[in-house]
Amino acid sequence: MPRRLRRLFTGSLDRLVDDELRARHARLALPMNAYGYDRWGASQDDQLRMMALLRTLHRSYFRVESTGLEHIPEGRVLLVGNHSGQLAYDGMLIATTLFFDAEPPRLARAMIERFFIETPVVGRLMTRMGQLTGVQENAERLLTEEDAAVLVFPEGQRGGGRVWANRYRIMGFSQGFVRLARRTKTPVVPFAFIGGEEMCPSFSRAEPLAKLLGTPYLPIVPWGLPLPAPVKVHIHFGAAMRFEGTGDEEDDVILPEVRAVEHAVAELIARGLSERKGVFA
Amino acid sequence: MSVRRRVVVTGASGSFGRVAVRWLSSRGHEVHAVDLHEDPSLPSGVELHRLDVRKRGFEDLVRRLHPDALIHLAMVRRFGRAQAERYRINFEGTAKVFEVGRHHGVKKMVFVSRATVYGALPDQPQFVTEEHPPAAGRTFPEIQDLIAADLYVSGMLWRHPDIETVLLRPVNVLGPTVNTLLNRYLGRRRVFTVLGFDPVQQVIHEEDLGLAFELSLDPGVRGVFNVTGPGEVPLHVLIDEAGAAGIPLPESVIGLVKGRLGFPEIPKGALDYLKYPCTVDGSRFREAAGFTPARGLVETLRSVPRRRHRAS
Repeated sequence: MPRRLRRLFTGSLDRLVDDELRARHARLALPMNAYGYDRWGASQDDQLRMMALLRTLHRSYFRVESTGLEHIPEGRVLLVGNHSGQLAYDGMLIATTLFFDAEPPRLARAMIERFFIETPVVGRLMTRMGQLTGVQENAERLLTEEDAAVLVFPEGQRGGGRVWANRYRIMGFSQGFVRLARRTKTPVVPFAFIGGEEMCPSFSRAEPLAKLLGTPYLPIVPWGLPLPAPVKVHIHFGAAMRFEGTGDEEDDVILPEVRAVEHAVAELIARGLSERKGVFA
Repeated sequence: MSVRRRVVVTGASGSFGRVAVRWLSSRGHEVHAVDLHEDPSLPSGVELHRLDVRKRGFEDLVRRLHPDALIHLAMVRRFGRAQAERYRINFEGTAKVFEVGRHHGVKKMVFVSRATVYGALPDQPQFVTEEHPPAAGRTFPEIQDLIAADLYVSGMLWRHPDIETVLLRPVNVLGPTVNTLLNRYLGRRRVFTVLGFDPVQQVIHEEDLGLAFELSLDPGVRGVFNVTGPGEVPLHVLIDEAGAAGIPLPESVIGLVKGRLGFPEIPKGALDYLKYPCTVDGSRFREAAGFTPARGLVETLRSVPRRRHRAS
């Protein structure tokens, strides 16, 4: 019975998958096995179904516009930017932007919180989409062995679960991504995600309550559930930054580079905020 | 095969033991099988020595035979037995076998651990290398004896650098004859899965495990090695290919029904392997021993004996 229900569900999604999707997905050239999975557990069929759903959100609901996609180089790249939106809606829309609007299309592989991996259904869905537990070894392997586009939010859940008073403020980047970039010789492309603060504003992280539920934070959203409002999303990518080294340098070598990326993201945010005409336009 | 070697295989009547005996004798090696139990499937030409490896008779055998290599597979895998007995057989027995081998000048000793020693943990990198600590004990204390044996054997590498110790950590072994927890799980008509989870699994065909045994005997091969097969698929593909029906149950319900209503009794820690991947990087063995699995992914998955044949 569950299997039949599942088939009914996936079957109806399959009807949304058209040639545009299939052609773009084929250009990702992902190494899939005889069963349609890659070694991380990402599924070609599920990616197509999900992208079919997300395409409507990307184009009609959030009307995502981006600039600077040409800064994303071929081959391995780390995409580093501000985190917001409470439930990784930003990561989702970066992924749709790379899939639908970038030339050639890329699969964004995000390093996600362990909490999502531990959540039934959510963890499985993330894996099928090609997202991975956010540990350094996974990112390193994706970059060096698959020349992947890896998405990193160095603010972590401090940024993702931020409150309204901290909107568009950088909450402090952790330094791991610079060490990773140095070690794997990967260019860093900074980006600003504009609209994430307004789509799902939260007034409190309700940490005592979150602790009871075993989550890092619990967003208190004006409309109750942490569902996103139809704000217009702008994403601005900046020029690639390159860092040379082993990744094992002292903090006084690494931290200025972390600050430099923070600064680049902050400038892209400032530009994005001044250029937009309104939250919904 | 280049050189005919005299090989002692302990636990020869067990499921991995049979694979080792069958494979090595078919490749022309002189195989001496050691086990407490009779094995009707023993290939002709292979001598069975009915001994307990922890007792005097085993030492006498090794002294008398002067084997070129010793493959230690006499381990208890089932969780039915008392933990103390498992510990005596699996950890103390392994230490004893390696001590006997060392004392009598055996220059090649092979031990088979499992990739499961790394654990299926949500914060674990996928494709862990041999440098990763065997961390399964965090949530799965029942296999501490295997981890202890694993670490004891890897200690042989620095305690006795003159001996070529080979520690293999293969991924899930599937095949028509092996009797592993996963094989038994897949052999059922209905298997439960944890609702909302479908972790990636790595598999290797039992014949490729036989090949791994053979390559371990090559001169110069020593060290700790993950052994991987033809690839990775989510758990539900394993279940589908075995012709079983997966029944997803919430984790809390599994705790109530396991061991009853026809559901198998499994330790709580084993459930993690149905939730999170425990996948390893097998490149070191491929490079050091020239190992390439001969069986493909589809063939390996379909090698599990099916209860119910699929319609196709």
